[in-house]
Amino acid sequence: MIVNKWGFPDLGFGMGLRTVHYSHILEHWPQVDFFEIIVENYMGSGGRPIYMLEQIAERYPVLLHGVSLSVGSTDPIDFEYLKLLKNLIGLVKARWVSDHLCWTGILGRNTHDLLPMPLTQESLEHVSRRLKVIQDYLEVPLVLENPSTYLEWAQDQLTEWDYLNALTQETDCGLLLDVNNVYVSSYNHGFSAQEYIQKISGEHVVYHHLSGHTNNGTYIVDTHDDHVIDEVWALYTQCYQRLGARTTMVEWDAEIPPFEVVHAEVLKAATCRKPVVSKVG
Amino acid sequence: MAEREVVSNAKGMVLPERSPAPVRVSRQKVQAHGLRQQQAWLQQVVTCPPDRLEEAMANTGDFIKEGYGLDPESRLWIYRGMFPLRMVESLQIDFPGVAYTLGPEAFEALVMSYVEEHPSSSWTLNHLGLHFPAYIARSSLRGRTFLHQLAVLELNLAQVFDEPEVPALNPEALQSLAPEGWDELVLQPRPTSRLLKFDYPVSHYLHQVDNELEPRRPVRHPQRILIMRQGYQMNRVVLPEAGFHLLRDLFSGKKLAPAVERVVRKFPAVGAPELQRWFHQWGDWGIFRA
Repeated sequence: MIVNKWGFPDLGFGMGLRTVHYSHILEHWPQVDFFEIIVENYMGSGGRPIYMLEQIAERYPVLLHGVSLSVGSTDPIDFEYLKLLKNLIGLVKARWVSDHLCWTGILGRNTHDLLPMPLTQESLEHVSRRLKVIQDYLEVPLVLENPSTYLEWAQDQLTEWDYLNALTQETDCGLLLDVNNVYVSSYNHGFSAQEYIQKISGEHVVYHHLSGHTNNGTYIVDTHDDHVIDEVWALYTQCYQRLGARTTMVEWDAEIPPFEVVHAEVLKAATCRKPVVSKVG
Repeated sequence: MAEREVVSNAKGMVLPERSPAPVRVSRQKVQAHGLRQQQAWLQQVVTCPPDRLEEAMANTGDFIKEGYGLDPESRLWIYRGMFPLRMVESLQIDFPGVAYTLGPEAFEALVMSYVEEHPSSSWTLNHLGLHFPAYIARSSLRGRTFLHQLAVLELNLAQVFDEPEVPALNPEALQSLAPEGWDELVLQPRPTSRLLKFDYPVSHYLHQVDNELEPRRPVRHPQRILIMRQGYQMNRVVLPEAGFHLLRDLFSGKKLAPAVERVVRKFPAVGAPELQRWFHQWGDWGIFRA
């Protein structure tokens, strides 16, 4: 078992806070260890989103997860975005904030997609520099998620796990190890998902994401619209056996089923942590 | 209105159909490119209009690795295919009436030409539609005046949804305002209250769209609307002409007594009972700042 270096506690098992589940949550206050929000849905809004968040944050821990930090972009850092993010960090008293190893646009443009970083020394140094500035500004650790990717750059010099390990060493950022994304990228690029999990820097892993995806035969798209598949559960079990208990969250973002269905998936994650007891006699 | 919600990763999709003309890809020796060049290249491939795609993808071999399972062009198409889905979905949430009126194909064409002229430059898609009504007004779309006005209404609804919540002047406080103070009194609107005037009954039309009543494009008929957010619910009411004039004066910062005098002069049929009823209603609706 490897303890994460900040000593962040295992918060248990949570799920993404989605608008279709608001009324269920406010009516039943279900037993969920925490909710994770997509920060862009709440930043800059003074209306219903922030009102709902305040109510839910009174009863549950809320984790912050972003999609627009664009940490790898070669455009200047967007401090207007960071200011709003810092306000949100204060509002829910977040101990860390997560986003993706990616870029979303350059030349003043935003594609609103999580575009893949070239895995080169130049890119590594660029992201390291920006991460330090961002973490200094936010005053909480940034936890970077391994993205699902659909292409590899011709100039890539590093594996994704070596890149992330070097980044964490250089910047002391955390890792959000998305187990489904490991599986998706390994399928799309032909590397070993088990090797990825074995070699990722365990002390930097703060938490895990789990989700479903769409397998189109020759490639997989990370659609978050279905149950977690068995292969991903097996990888998650491997993570637990290597790293120990880490905060774990299930994402379901499209074709979102009733609350109970997503919650059942969250509870299923807990069963992966049970120790295997062999029958005797 | 639907609530916008960004999700944390890719939308579901399969590889979209490619452009009819095959893209010729160079297979020359890989050239070294800096990070900035790599990003500029991929962004161009993902976002450029179809007529510039062949040029954009000409040196794919320089940038993208010959992969496992899929060829580099197909890999690029995964990202390229997601881009219009995101743009169209975003504006469809904010402009459901325009989307319904045009139908899926024409709406997508409009969105993609709009995004070409006004690409998103913000961290949030909430700002993507800011110039959409003006773009429609300048377009050659049939019935663009109606579409423009419908888009103005929808943009205002989307904006009011996110406005900050500030305390409202309660009905009792409004009723108890002493007449001797009216000369200097200014009633400020809450950020969640907006007045709009249209040449078409766009609010009624949008109501029918929202309720899947399949409305036809309406004929010209003026409509004056008050948009308000109450208890985080979006509401809108059609106002009588005189009431609209009075509220417009008040919202623009005119003092209460001169504003009332002006509306009574302009609309002689408006008397004290009507004024009293209006202010009672406006107090109930909570449209003024405390």
